[in-house]
Amino acid sequence: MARAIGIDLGTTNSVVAVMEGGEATVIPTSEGNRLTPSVVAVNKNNERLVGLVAKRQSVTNPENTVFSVKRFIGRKFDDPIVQGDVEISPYKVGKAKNGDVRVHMGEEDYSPQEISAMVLQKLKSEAEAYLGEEVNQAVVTVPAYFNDSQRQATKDAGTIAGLDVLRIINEPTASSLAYGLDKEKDEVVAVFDLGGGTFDISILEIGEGTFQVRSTAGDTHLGGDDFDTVIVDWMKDEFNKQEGIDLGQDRSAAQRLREAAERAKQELSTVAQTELNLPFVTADASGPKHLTMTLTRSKLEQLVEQLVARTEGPCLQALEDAGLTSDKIDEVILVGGQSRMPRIQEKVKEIFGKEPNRTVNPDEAVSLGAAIQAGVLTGDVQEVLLLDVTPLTLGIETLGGVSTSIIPRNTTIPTAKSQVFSTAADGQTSVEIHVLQGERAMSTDNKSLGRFILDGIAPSPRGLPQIEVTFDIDANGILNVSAVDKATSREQKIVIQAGSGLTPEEIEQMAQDAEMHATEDAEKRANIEVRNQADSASFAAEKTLEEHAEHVSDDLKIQIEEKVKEIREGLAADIPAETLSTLTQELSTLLQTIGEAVYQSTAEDRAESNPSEGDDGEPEVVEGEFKEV
Amino acid sequence: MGDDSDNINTEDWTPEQWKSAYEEQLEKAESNRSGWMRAQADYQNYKKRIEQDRSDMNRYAVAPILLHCLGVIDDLERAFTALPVELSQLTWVNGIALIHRKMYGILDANGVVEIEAQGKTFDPNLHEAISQAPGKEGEIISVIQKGYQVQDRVLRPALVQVGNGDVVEDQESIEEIEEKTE
Repeated sequence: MARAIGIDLGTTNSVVAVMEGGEATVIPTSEGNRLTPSVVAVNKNNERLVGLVAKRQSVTNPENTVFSVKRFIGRKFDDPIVQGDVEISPYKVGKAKNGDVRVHMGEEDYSPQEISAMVLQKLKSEAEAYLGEEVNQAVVTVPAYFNDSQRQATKDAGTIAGLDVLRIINEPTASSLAYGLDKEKDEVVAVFDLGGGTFDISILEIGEGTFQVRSTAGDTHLGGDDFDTVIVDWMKDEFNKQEGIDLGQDRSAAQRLREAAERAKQELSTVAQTELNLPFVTADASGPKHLTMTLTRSKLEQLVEQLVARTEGPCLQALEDAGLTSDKIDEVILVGGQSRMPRIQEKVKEIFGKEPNRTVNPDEAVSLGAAIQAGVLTGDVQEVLLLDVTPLTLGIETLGGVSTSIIPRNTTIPTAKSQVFSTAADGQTSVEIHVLQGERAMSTDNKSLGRFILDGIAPSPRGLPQIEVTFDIDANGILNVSAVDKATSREQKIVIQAGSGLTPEEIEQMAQDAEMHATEDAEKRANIEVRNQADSASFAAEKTLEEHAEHVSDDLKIQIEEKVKEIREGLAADIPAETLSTLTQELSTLLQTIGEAVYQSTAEDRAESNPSEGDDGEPEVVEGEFKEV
Repeated sequence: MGDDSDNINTEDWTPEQWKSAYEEQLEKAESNRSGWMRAQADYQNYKKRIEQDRSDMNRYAVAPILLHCLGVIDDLERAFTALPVELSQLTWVNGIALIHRKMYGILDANGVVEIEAQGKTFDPNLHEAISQAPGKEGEIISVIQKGYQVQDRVLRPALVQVGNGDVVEDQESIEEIEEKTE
């Protein structure tokens, strides 16, 4: 079955999203943008342009470039709202025989539905290119205040675009879906949507998967663009004060001011101050002029306070219309790019008395919600298997009580992973597999899930046996741990039931502990590593002495043996890591002397008998060995 | 996951019950099969997309950083445009010009090329019109800000002034026409 897409058909920009692997994802355009301007044009060659390209050519072709058609859809030409917008519209807007609005573009008249259909068609083809399959079904969003005829007209636009519109849903409902609010208990939600050009506030009642709009209010001419304008005006004023030049007269400067203002605004959402730096912004008789100013967050907040204040009235109106007081609102969610501004979030908190939820990308929430709804309607969402993840790292204990991870936390299950380990001592015939759960570096700090012994390993030098340990978790979270000696094929295993008795709170606690103790754990682990290295080095030294006895002077032999003894005693007495590390270093220097002696004598040998054998050096030390049982 | 049918006593079942149970299981099997196939297909598509994303990332990963560098290059170019004649012979100034060239070298090395604009026919795929002025219709008469592209993707469109078909006259009438088009 083909997939259905979710479309946020906006006044200035539109976004398309789809369910993929159980999650809603925004589909980027072929140019790599996540937004498509809701603009359509016909150029002089009678070619139709949609989206970004239409926007880019709009000033050369204003009478044939149609934008903001959402303000006209499903309305009558005589509607005072339409009349207000007709006056400021650069393209021709007329009246159809049935009283509807018609827009003129190229040589023809189009209904707003047809224009919207062109935008929808563009989004449809972007989605098809992305998914690699045909798309015929969609869920389209509309503002909560749209009446029946506006909704029907939007649906018709979809039909014209070749889409079966499965459902028209309200933008705030879509946002709530994106925030996952349908899954929670019954609650009253305020959706605060401050976009590029419009502001909407909606109060919804959510219960058992149903959404009811209690009230809506807003300001159709308040948005992020107004904030940019305020900053641009301030920059112009300041520059005029400093240099006596009006930058408003200069097109190129105006463009740079606008870009700089937008960037500064975005930066000030995360930092406290930013620099506006436009060298050679203009010139007069005395030479070039530069614009450098510092804008602080508090100055910005002061500049836009009036705009911020304009959000309050509609919010209070919506509360009143819903017959509620602010304390009856269970949750406030933020939608629209401008809601990223910290001052806006503060204002929302002032109005509703609670911290707003802003966990979803505010530019994309509406389209993501539409995609979720589309997924539900086509059965995509129900059929998605909810795959679990392992909440904590699973691993085993290795030499020195270190916890070695096999399956890291947040791995999606079912899954299986293997790793090969070896023994820690010569002639070791059994190993203990101690299964651990947790994020801490030392096994004693983690939770023990079980242990078993694999015996019957053929006696051999340390590091030689290969023991493959496999962790296998099935979809129900049941963990199978097995260990196989590759030489003898002897196997032992343990089954650990799901759950492991940890509550979500305990899991959270364990994860937090791990973070808190990260430094301390790293020290401990480093300490153990030093000890393991010292142990390996002593072992290697003995082995080297044995192998190359004939090349080593008695004096050197005694020195090495004493150093090894010193290290062994140090290990037993648990001397500080630094001392141990120095001793190991000294031992390895002595060993290098052996290496030199061996090399020299082999070279001499070679000169005599031309033997080909060289020194194959120390035995390889395998990391993460088992401690001896 | 335990199956519900495990604990059902089927001894007294009528043929109808068997039939409906059979059909129910058949339906379940079909839905599981289709779910499984869909998951497989999803996975295949996902893998393809990841491949595509990875190659895109290799090609375009530098784009956002370069985009910021372009602002600096613009500023340097503005500085040279405003260079007083009496300074232009200074070797110190030449040094700055070499720095500018070096930055261009970085763009070059990353496959960034300047979009041709001046005198070309306006193309909204590459150019963004910010105003119109007297001149040949549809032709770019001046470039306000250079545009760049990385391979086949526009990094930043060229901001241009496009001719409106009017004959170039004296300064006053140009301003008049500009005001009209605003």
